[in-house]
Amino acid sequence: MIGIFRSSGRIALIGALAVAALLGTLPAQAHPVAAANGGTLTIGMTSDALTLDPTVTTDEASGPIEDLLFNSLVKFNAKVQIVPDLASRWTISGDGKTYTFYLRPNVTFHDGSTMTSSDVAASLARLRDPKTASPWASFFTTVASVSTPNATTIVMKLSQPYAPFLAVIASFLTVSSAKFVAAHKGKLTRVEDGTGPFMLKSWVPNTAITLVRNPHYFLAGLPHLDKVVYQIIPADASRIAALRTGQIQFAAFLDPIYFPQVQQLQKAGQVNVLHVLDINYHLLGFNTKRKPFNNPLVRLALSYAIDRNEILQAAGRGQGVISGLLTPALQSWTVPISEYAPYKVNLAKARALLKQAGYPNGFSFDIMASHYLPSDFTAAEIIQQQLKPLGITARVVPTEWGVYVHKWVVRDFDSFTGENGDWTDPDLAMYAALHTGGSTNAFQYSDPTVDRLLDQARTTTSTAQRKALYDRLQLYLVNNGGPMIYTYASYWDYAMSPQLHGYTYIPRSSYQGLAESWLQ
Amino acid sequence: MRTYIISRLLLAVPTLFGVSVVAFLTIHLIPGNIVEVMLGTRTDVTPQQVAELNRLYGIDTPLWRQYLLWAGNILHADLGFSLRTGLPVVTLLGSALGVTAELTVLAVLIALLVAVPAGVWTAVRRNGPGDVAARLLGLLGLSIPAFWLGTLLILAVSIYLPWLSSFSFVPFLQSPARNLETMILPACTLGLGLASIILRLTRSAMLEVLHKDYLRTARAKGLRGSRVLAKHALRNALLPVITIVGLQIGYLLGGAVIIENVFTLPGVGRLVVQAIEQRDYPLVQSVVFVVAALVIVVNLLVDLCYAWVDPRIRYS
Repeated sequence: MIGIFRSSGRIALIGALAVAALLGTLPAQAHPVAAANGGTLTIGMTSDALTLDPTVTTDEASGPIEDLLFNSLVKFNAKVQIVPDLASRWTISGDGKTYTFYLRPNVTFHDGSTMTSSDVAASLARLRDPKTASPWASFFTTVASVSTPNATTIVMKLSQPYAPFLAVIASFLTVSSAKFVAAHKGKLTRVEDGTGPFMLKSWVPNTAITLVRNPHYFLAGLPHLDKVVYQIIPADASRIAALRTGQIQFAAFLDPIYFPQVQQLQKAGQVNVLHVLDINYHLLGFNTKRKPFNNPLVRLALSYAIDRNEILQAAGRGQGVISGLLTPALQSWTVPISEYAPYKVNLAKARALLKQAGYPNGFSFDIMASHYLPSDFTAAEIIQQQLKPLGITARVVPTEWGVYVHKWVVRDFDSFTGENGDWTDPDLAMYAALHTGGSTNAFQYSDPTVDRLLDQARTTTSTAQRKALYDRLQLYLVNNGGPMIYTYASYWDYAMSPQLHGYTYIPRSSYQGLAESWLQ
Repeated sequence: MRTYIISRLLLAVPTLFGVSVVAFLTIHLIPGNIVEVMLGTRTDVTPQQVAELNRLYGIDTPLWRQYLLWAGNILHADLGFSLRTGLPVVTLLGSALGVTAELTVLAVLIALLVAVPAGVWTAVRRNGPGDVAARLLGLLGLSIPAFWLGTLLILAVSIYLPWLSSFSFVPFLQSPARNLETMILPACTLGLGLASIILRLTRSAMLEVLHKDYLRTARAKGLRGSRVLAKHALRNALLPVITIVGLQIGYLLGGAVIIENVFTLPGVGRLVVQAIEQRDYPLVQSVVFVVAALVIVVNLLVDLCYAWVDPRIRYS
């Protein structure tokens, strides 16, 4: 659930209102610039990719490359609507259980072979194969059968209606040549044969990955760029210097400590900057099987005691917004924070709740925090101070990342600070994390009301009904002491050369938009 | 001398065995394995899938068996494969070691070229204004964190000397000019810190020998001052300098990870830190083992240098 290792770059926002927020931060262009072909775009990356196989990708560095190598049946556009990708159109049966995708004809893989429905079926089968051990297979458990009536049609039948299915397809299913996969015995770490706008040319470990233009890309006239180079430059300060000298033309910055320097470059006219709100939220999570957090009153008391704005200003350097589980970036789904009573700091209420729970004098507990997530580490220290007036002693336990993950997996923690999200559909954001026995329910949380609402919402195909159900869920979780205290959602800065045009930001698939960009 | 070298090499065997055990155990005993770290906090996999991944990565067998397999391969000069990238460890380590070795050599050369003459000069002009200034600069060099200096240099160069900025490492054989462009700033950053240490040590050692009788005799015999300093004084003062240089080479061969990150160098430090974070067991174990072996060789060469510098030292 926790999006620490982010998805492979195919998760995006749902909701036109989210796009409105984003469009407001796009750099204005004084006049349209005609597209030009050619050129090399160099992107500064913090670390090297680990694999080119989206089926097993769990890290943040591999997704940006896969964004340009592969396609899915459908994808998200800049308005966060599901649009055609390899499928030119699709139909959904009235009962919501049969999806028929009609593929574009004459799409070729990078090796020149023609893509057919068999390749799509094989790609899905590989993703679901236990031997592949794909972490994304669980999202396709509702697929009961797959058939390919002809070379350009694929039919997926689900065991039950599954509202986020198209979002799941867009996020996790990529299509590779079945012959290529078989020839490489499924070992696709350093090779690829996708259908994307770019193809792998070279990979110098820990240095750079170079992609070249796919001359047979199925969208005529694209891509414009000849080459895309992912240059590994781990230090943020070095990437800023590289932008200044023009050695790279595109880089993302997550740590708000560097935003002022990036904005200085913008003021000097050396870069344009996209300032976008992330889907992820920051949180304090509890182990609900350990005292005192097995008592929802205690969790609710802490929610009333914590000053989220103080955490945002100090840990997030003010670069974000106060948020619930579904962040303001998901505006069509999010509930206004004004409806969350615990979001107004109320120490008297917190004391009363603690007294009711049997902890009138407070208690002590550990907060597991990792320097791998520096803002969340700082948030832990701030929370530690904020809880002192209640007699609560919080010990911040600095934890190395691998140990942090291990303790999370085996549920060996009292509480932890971290980031969560990376999901665009509320079911993806909530079900596995909050349903009893959910695969990422590290909180070991169980509430029959929440279970019932989650089950209902995932099988309801009406957007209006889903919205009402998820609104109830969000309010219930915040106002009744859910297993997490949500604090804020962060901004990211995307800095790019003024010579780069046509870039479209698609949240969580931010490198896909480079397929249509050009340099001039 | 030959006997001495052979006995030192034989002594290296139990040392390397100890290193192999420590390297293997420490990475395996840290909580969190490669599968857990790879999946992160996305445990959407079933226990069966986790078991399959454990089998795929070879971590489902007892530790002793894993150690014997790895150690056995090492004896056949097979360093294994990186679990995360699938690349041979020898390929990853070879290219990383080349970068780190070059950085080490350049940093040490810069340090020696700056610090040894400066150390001699300040010793001869003890307590003069030049000596005071040099000692202050040396103290500054020791005090300034390398990562801060490196970041400052990168920023300054990107503004005032953009043609010298380089964020893409180019191997020396591919383009010597571009390679030196990439290496000059990190080598200077590391070298200046090392120079501060060597300067102080050279100065102290020189001050000890400058008042020796044999130097007075050499001057009385009519030898020129510079010849006295270089041939008679400095040579006798070099022993502690050689020691510290040897120690620093060993340290630098392990990879100055912060400098590598700041200057975007794909060296050993960055490689092994990432491998530890990812719990890439074969990569960590093999890198630690190889670097330990190199440190043993460097120490041996340092000891042999003693005999070359000081003919009184004889190894038998």
